[in-house]
Amino acid sequence: MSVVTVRLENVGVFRGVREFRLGRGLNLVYAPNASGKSSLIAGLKTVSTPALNGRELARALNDYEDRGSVSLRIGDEEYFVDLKRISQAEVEASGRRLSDDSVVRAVAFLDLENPIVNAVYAGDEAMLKRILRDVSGVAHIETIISVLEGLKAEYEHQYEVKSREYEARKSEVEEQLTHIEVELRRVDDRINEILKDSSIEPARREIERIEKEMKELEERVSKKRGEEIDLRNRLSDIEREEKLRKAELDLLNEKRSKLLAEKDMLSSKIVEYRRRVEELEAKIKSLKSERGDLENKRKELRVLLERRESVAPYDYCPYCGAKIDKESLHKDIDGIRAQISELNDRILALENEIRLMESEVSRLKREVEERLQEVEKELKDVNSRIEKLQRTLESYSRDKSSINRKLQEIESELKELEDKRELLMRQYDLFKDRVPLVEELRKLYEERFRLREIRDRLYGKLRQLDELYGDVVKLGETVSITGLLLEYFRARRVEVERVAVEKVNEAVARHFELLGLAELEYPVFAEGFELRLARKGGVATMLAELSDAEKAILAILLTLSLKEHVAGDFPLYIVDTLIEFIDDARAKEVLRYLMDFASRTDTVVIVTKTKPYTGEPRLLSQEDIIVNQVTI
Amino acid sequence: MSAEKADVVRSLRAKGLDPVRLERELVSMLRSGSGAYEVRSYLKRLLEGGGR
Repeated sequence: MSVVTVRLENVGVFRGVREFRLGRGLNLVYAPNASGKSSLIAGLKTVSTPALNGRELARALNDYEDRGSVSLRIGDEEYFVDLKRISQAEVEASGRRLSDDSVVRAVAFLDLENPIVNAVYAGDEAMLKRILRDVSGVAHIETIISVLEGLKAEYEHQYEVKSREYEARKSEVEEQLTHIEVELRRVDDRINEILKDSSIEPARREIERIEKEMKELEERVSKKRGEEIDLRNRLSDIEREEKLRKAELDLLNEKRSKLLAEKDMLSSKIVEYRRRVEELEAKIKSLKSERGDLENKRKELRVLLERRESVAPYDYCPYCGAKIDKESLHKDIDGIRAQISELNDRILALENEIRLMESEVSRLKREVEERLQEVEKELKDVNSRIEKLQRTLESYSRDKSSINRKLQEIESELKELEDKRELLMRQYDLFKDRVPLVEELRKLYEERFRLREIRDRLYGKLRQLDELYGDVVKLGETVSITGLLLEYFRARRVEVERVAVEKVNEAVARHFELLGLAELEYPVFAEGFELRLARKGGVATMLAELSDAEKAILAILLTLSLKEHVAGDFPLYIVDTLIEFIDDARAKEVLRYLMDFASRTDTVVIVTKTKPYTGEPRLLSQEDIIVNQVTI
Repeated sequence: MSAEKADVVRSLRAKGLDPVRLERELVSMLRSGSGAYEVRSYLKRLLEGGGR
């Protein structure tokens, strides 16, 4: 029973639609050169793996067509890829593929574009080693390591720059602070000196009271100024965050507009598409009913044919005893056979028509209904992110208003304190005639007030620098995590490579029959995927010294072993053309082995050949592609 | 090497990052056709965004 159906439309040499049915087990695809065997394989590859390059995709689409498609049905699951020509050399592919793992390209599709096949035939052991490291996952770990190395260098550089910036700014502020403190000390010392001077005696009590009040006032001003600076720092942080979130919101709004436009476009089309789908489904129903009628008619004719054929050997009817007119009976039988054959053709044509319509229905659903669902899902996600961002922005706006209110309060409090200070200063005028030093004292208080203000602002700058220090610490932590990740992945590289070599060697051992057919000995790989080939008896050999047949067998052996290790669940294994390089006797052994492998692992194995081997039990036409499940 | 690796895994997990899960995610990205650029963007987001 067929379990795999491949439908190609404008793929490779095929223009229009072609369909192939494959079964579990070994499928031999026979056809002369340039008949489309490789087009079938190219189609399968396109719908099975994401790793095709632009050249391969361009080759998959028929040269004279701008659109094509491949669909693959395995049991109840359907996979598809639509091909669209962008330019002469560029083809775009989209759809749902059988696997999203690029590694299946190398281990399950043995065609002349396969990198392992190419390396084996080029006799290039270094290239083969590189590919095996790629396929076994070692190269992926190496990619991660090189990305981490780049990131670590980048973070280390940023850390150094930020640290230097922090240190430079901090020492500059500290230097200014030291200078201000010295100045403040100088002013305080002079004030104390004046306060101890006997010339202020006539107004000492008043002056000391003013000095005490002035000190308290300055403390309060300084405290308020500190609060003001902190609030302004917080405000600028919020404004910075707000700017970033607004940019993010603009992007999301833009995305939402695009999605809404697409949704409108799809919604306007949906009525038309649904009508078309309904029409097609009605047609499919009517065709199926027509097919049912024809099948009933064929059944009746088959019963009639069976009856006619059952009396054909007799001269007299075994049921009624009447003499049989042989000539008329044979004419009758031929007529019924012709009618059955005609019915077969009509049923087949109907089935093809039904299949085409069904696939058109599924294409329409994919293009509109499913895309519409996707767009709605994306819109929902975008809307929820927009709502979240708007809530965040609203909270920023509330925070800003509250900070601005507090700042206004502080400003008015500061003004009030300033007025009080002015009043206190004016009180000195009462004694300036009696105590000449009071004028200097007043100037000193003015200077102290100004110096304290500068000192407060410098402390504010220092607190701002603490935030920069937080960034520096965070960067230092990122550098440390990146370093740890590098250590982890470097250790994993060694492990993955060792395990991969062991596993692949174990798999090679399980395929010892193929190893024997290639006249090679176990094991095949040393550490680091170094190829270690030895002929039977232990004589060392090299890849370049193997015959074409041995290379083909080795390529099959390697890919089967790697497939077990990295893509054991992938249901296809395909050998295109390669089997032609093996002499008939060994090729039959390889095919028998692949047949066992297919049944053992429940894999659909496909092998292409230009002609059948002599003595095969099927009649094979060379007019077209023949796909047969064959017993060798 | 294995004991050292276990220490590294422990340290990273203590910092909120599971390297085993990260390896699975990154390898799966690379196997489905993503390149070094996508891996770099993913790691940058993870390391800088604190989404560990």
